[in-house]
Amino acid sequence: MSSQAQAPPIDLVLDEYTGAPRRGFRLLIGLCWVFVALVAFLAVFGERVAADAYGQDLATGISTPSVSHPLGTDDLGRDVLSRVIVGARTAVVGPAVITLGAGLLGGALGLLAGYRGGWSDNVILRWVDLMFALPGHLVAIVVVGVLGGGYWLAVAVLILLSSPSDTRLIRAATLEQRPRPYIEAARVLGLPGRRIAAQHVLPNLLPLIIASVFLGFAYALLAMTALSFLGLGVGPGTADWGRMLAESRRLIFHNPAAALAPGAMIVVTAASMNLVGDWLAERLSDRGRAQ
Amino acid sequence: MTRTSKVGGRDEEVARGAGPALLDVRGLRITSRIGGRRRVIVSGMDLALSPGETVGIVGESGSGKSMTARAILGLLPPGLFAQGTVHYEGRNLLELPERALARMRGADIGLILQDPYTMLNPLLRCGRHIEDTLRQRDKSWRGRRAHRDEALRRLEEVGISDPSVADRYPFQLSGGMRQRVGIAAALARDPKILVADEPTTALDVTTQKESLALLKSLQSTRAMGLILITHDLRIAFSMCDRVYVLYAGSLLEVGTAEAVEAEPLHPYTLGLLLSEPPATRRVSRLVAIDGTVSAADDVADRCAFAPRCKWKQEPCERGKPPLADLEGARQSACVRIDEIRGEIGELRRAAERPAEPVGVLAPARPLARVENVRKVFEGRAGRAGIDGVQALAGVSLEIGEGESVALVGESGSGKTTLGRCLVGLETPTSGGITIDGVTASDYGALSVQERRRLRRTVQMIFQDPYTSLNPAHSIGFTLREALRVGPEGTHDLDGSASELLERVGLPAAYLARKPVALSGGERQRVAIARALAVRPQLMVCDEPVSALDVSVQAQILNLFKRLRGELGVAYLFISHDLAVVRQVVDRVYVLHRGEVVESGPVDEILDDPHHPYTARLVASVPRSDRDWLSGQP
Ligand code: SF4
Repeated sequence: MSSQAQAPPIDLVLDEYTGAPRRGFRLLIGLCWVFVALVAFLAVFGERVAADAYGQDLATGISTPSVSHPLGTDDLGRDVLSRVIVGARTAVVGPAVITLGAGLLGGALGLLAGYRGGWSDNVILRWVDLMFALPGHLVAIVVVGVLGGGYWLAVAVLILLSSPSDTRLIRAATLEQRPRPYIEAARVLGLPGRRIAAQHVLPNLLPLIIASVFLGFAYALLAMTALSFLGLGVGPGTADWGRMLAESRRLIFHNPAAALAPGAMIVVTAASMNLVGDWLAERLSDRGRAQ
Repeated sequence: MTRTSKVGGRDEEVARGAGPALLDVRGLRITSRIGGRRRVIVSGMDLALSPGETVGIVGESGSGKSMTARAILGLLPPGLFAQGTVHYEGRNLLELPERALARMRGADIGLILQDPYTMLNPLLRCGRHIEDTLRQRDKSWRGRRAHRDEALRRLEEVGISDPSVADRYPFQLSGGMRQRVGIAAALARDPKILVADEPTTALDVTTQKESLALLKSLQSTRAMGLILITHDLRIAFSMCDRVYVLYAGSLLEVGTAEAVEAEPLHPYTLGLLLSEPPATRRVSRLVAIDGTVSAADDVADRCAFAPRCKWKQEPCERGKPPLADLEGARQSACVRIDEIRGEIGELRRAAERPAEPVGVLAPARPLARVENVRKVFEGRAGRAGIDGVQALAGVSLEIGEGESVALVGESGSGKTTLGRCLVGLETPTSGGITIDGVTASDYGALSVQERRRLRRTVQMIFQDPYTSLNPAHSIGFTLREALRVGPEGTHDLDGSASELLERVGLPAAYLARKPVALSGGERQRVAIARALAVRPQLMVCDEPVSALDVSVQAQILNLFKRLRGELGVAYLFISHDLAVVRQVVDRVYVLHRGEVVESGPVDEILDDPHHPYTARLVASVPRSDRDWLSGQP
């Protein structure tokens, strides 16, 4: 039997055998980390770094990048760089709360469904199926729009909408843990189900959870900025990347930097989060642990 | 053990490897490079194979035996590199380009793996596998019909006379049949060398014997060179002309099968031979090799066996001892072999001690009683036409206090299901289970007190020590958790946990370790300690040593024996391995297709089986002599 050499699955960034970043991509992962850290820092201290995000200067009006305004100003004469910096807060806080909330809600349901099985599994699965049948973005737009918009409302709706995918993920992973001998050994010892789920199943799902947190964050960031872009998130004039993107669209020929900067921030933040999440998942998985 | 019936007419020259070598491996060294760090996996491997010869590469896990085979075939996984020479027909295979190697594999050198499932494409019918290979051999080959006829002939050659098998998919066949198809496919291009990597490890004992006999007969009728890779010394001795003993990446001993078996010339080989539990008699204590297998990389610069050798002296660690020639075409890598030969020989002979009689069984007070238990696994709900699978068809048995009872059978016999019913991991469809006065047929229906009492009475040891401990928690966490459930209460958990570890022969320092840092044998000890934490009266042990290396298996069996003596705990030993069973139990129940076909004291059943199935099981236990394979089942 001649065995053909199998073509390994191709991952451009991570080595398929060791899970380590490929040569040349180590730097990329590093840069992603730095960027993620930077955005997180700005989310906390942004207002101190750039205090005049709302300072209008109608006399100057719109201007292209200069020494005093590295990214120029918008039509109301506000410093674009400061607004981008301050905008990190709404870009991070909302998605973080969504990821956390969806993770807690969805994860708890997934654990319950996977470990208990029976009717609780049935009920939870129906709920997940229903949510998956709905077009998520559309529902978010309609619900938030009908209820009058607002940042925290959008966050709440997105928590509900993105929790089912966490439920599905955790349920599948729990089902896979359940027949393992260490779980059965705990059952034979007579440990209560709650304890087994929390102490024996959950810790082994940690790598999965961490990876899904990063991926979920990227998704939530896109969803939140989309809602803001449509005017359904933060109020008008707020320094928020989605909102800025919407309001500066018309400035593309007058000050391109004002129109492009918020968009670039969204894309690079989401991409960095994705890559970092992927890398972490590989590191924490069994394959990575074997190193 | 009588060896009078050895096959006498064996070609002496071939046995000595004196003929022109078909395959000549010299100085093979395999290293891995991961993350810039180099590790030795195998070093200094020499091997010669003559036409028509069978050589065995024997080793435990981590010895590098499989990687050696893969290196010969040019099939090392990525990240692993081979140096040295592998000469075949005047060419060094290690230097051949991949294309030439690919042409050679299958045509000149065939390969059989542990599970043929991994070699057979699940989407192709069995006949196609052979036909495709035939077509590759001879592109100009006649029409479709001829291929088909040839494929059927090949299947018949491996003992499959039913032509409909050719039209079935691999997953529709049993493990043994699949392995036969795998063998037929590997031989379709008539290779001169066949490499068989643990070809029967995944099979049941009776199937194992049949497959080995088939392999042996094919090898001799075709005068093929066969390299058999196995962890089982008995199989190597019964199949091979010469054996190579590999340990932690180093070749320790080479010789003819008879000579090595009769007079091992390396402390490790001796240890292996001694730790093999004899199937024919019970010994009071198995001679185990202390410690665990070292990583090849850690012992690359000294005698690989030094960390476990009781004859170790200063010169042993002064560099890697070379394989030195001894008389009778034998080689040993022990530097002190001349000094310790006498001692080794004596120990080897002492191992053939007479049997230890199993003590007369005092009728024990019954602890657990299983009455007419049936278990049917339901088919997929709502799907018509799929009946449930009956795993247990009315089984009754009894375990007395402090008694050790075995449940013996092959896969599919229902033995594991019964064990799981006893500890409440499955609920019987009908029938009764009583343990220590509590009705345990349905754990879910018990009161909290009763359930707690049961949990403290029965515990379970699982087969695979690599998955029976939670990788996320330290040993201390695992043991403290179990202790909290037990009757002793929660004061001084750490002290009790250390005591438990000591009881199973591990230092208290292990409390802080995670399972990853432990070897298989150590993990199994911890699993036993966890079960002991609740002071059970009965331990259900589901194949507790079958995943362990021979040298470690003996340690764990000794531990089971000792614990029974110290604590008076009863065992239900679930196993397919009669040699193991012989060492630890008083009574045996033989399970076949969900029914007990025979039961009684272990000596009676194993020495004089009445039921034909039991007789077949007994005959399937591997023995070191060549008669084992030729004898009728
Ligand atoms: S070389 Fe030394 S350590 Fe190695 S097996 Fe011989 S006596 Fe033991």
